[in-house]
Amino acid sequence: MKIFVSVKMVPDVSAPMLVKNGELIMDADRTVLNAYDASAVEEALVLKEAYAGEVVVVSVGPAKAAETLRKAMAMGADSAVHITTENMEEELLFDSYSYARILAVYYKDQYYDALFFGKQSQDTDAGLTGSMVAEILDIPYVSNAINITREEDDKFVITRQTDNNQEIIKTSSSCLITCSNNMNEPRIPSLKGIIASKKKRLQKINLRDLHINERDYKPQTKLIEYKTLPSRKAGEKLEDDAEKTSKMLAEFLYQKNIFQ
Amino acid sequence: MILSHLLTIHKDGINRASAEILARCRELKNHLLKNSINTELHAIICNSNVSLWNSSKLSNELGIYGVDKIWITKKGNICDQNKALIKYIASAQKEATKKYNIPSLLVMESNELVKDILGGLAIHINASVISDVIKFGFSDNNFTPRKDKSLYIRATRPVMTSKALADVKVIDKQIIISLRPGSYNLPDVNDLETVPKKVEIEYMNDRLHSPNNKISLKNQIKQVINATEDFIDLNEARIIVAAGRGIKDQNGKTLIANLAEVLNAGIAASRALTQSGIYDSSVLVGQSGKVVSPQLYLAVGISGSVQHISGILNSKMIIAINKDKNAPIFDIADYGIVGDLNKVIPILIDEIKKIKSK
Repeated sequence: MKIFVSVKMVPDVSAPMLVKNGELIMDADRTVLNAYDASAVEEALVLKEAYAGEVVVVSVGPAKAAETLRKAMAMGADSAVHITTENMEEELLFDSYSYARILAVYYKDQYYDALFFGKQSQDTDAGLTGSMVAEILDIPYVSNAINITREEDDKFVITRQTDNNQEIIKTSSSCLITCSNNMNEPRIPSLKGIIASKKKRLQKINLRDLHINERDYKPQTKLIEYKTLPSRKAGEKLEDDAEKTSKMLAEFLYQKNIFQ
Repeated sequence: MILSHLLTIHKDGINRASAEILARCRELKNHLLKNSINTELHAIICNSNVSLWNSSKLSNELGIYGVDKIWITKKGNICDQNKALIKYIASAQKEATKKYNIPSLLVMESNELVKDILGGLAIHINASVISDVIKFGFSDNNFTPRKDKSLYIRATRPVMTSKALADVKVIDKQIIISLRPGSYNLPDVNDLETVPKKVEIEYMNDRLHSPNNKISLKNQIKQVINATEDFIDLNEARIIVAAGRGIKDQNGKTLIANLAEVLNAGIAASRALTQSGIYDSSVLVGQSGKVVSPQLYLAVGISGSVQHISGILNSKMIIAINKDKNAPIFDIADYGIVGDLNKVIPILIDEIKKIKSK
């Protein structure tokens, strides 16, 4: 069984940041493996451990994205493919559409049982790339998976979280699955894993050498500016014994016409 | 141009988010008409169990929003399979836009059903897409279709775990947007059409199953697990009571259930509680779960991680009960109580009952 997992390097969203003159300024230049992608890697590794096979991680990004791929290999992925965008200014402006077009060109020529994606990325939360790739490749897909198992030799059984319930979907191989971070707890790479990852194969492909025309991955969306969120101010905060505060809260709710 | 909205019809009509979207689309449509730009508003209904709804009832329900045309199918299972749903919407859009010759803007609610198909649909009909926006419109002086018939849409969306907003634009002939519920106000009935116009209804059954438009069901749903029975839909709830790490066990859960009952509220939970299995993941609110927009969000024992807060910022009012006075949830709460929830909630329930019985 061969699973490719698409991973993205994202800025550490937990770092302090501020908006100034329409630009986003982040305190630290720290980047991490997108948390949803980490769950996708974890799930692929669990399947590999149960049914044997191979896990390959793929990323489109600048030179620094290699760190993200090393991290995924330290977790246990067998090898990595880095579609590099070095010295390409437009890389900074890529949107979901750009990534989907580029990844689809790469996957088109690969053999796979499944393509895993995180369901969205932490920086943009757009959640589009996975289903775009599935549509371009014309393969079945399931999104927002919270559990994946293998059935027979050529099927996956996926539990998907919907708005109000869960669906169990059976799909044939050569499918695409986007993973929720509610499906597992991604493992922390062990020291042994980190050492082993350095010897694993990391294939570099320059985007220019991939058979895709620049206009085919031209971003659809353009950023105009960043803005600050309309702030919510902290209101009254009561610190007293429960008897008093509860009464006051009930009265407050009544005043605000909450009871109907 | 064509403005369209994908919606689900429920027993009691359309849901709150659809009302918000249709009202916003009507506003845009009237604006365009005033500027002599021929514009139609279409509704694409995606559920097929609309037997309760005859055409005059449908017409009345949607006519007040100025809907000109409804696309509908009586064939089952359109919503159940992502590829089938994509093809269904694409057929409606293709016909409405005369093979994509008329520029169009399709607006959908940002929920799991739509998240599942959004990217795929955009590729399928060759449209540009912006997901999960909280505000959208035509660029200021540029709302007309341009010479090449493309539209210029500007939208605002939360990014970086809702720590910032990004204004983005797309210029294209076909554009799709998904809108977070609660982003626009529910329309006042007096502002809508007083005499609903007669709406044209187009049944799509035959077209969908013509040989060159065959829907292949490559993946099948085996089972639907109803996680929550007798629940209040969190996307629709006027009030939500949300449980966090402060709720430790069944006793805590009972407290939450009792409070929700007396408030007629939906029940939500933070990630800590869905992960530990105390609550089902269907009720998870936050970045990786639902984004909600109730009138009142009552956070009980929730400290307020950035991921959780990003899912509740559209709430009209936030009230927090937490024993840690430094919990970040208090920074965004309109009203806060520092205290032990096990003591506060039972008294609160009694007090509410007292007031209600008066």
